[in-house]
Amino acid sequence: MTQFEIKVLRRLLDELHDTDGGLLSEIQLHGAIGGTAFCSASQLTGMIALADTRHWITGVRNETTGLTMWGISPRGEKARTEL
Amino acid sequence: MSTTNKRRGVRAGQPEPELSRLKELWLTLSDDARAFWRARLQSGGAGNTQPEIRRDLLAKLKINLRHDNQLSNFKSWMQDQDGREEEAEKQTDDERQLVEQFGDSWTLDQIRDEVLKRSYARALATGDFAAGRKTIVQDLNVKKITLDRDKFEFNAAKAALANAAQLKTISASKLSDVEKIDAARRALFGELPEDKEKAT
Repeated sequence: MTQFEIKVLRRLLDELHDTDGGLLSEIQLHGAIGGTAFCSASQLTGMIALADTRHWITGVRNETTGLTMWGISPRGEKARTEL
Repeated sequence: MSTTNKRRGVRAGQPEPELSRLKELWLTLSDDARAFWRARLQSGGAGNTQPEIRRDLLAKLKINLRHDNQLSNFKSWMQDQDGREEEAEKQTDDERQLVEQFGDSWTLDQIRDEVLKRSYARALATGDFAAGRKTIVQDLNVKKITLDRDKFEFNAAKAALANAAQLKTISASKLSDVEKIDAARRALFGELPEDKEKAT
């Protein structure tokens, strides 16, 4: 993992941690970590997929709207302190 | 996508706090179930006092909140989460509409910037400064990069004018393209710190 990827993941996990058990959408996460000035939309999608693969975050899909929102998992809380 | 339930970190061997369990459970409830509890929490009338709601939470959801302030904390968290979900849906609608309208000419990042700007405007309009603050950071970052680029272009143009004769000589020389670029950069902006280090 590159230093930049670690930085993106750290910010993602920090933002989700700050919701205190709540959920954020991909766009909300993008705005919260610094927007396109910090990382591109496609880079963010890749980092979210990576965090999901590692079970650091969990997606909750709303069947009515089709919108997926993300929350931090216990593994993510642990990773956040180690990244 | 992983489907395990989401929980905040809890120390090994420690029981999970009831409030955290309620938040976790809340995210998995159906829309109807959420509407039912939301209405009760917001009503506060007869049959919906805090002790009565706590009693029913224990009976129906097996969540044992011992104090009224836990319920107040949950209500505040629930309203925050409702707000986040509502805004997330608006942002998704904005993105969908912008893709339809400008998908052929705008990049995904340009569309994302516009979605975030609209979200920022909504946050300010509704006085949600906490949400707006983060979007402001994004907006300022974009402006700073634009300003930095403008300053660089201005300085580069100024340096090119001042060194026009030298650039002409470099351009006409028999150096390779890479060497010409390197020589032009030195003529315009001077030595790089690492070049100076190499020289010493």
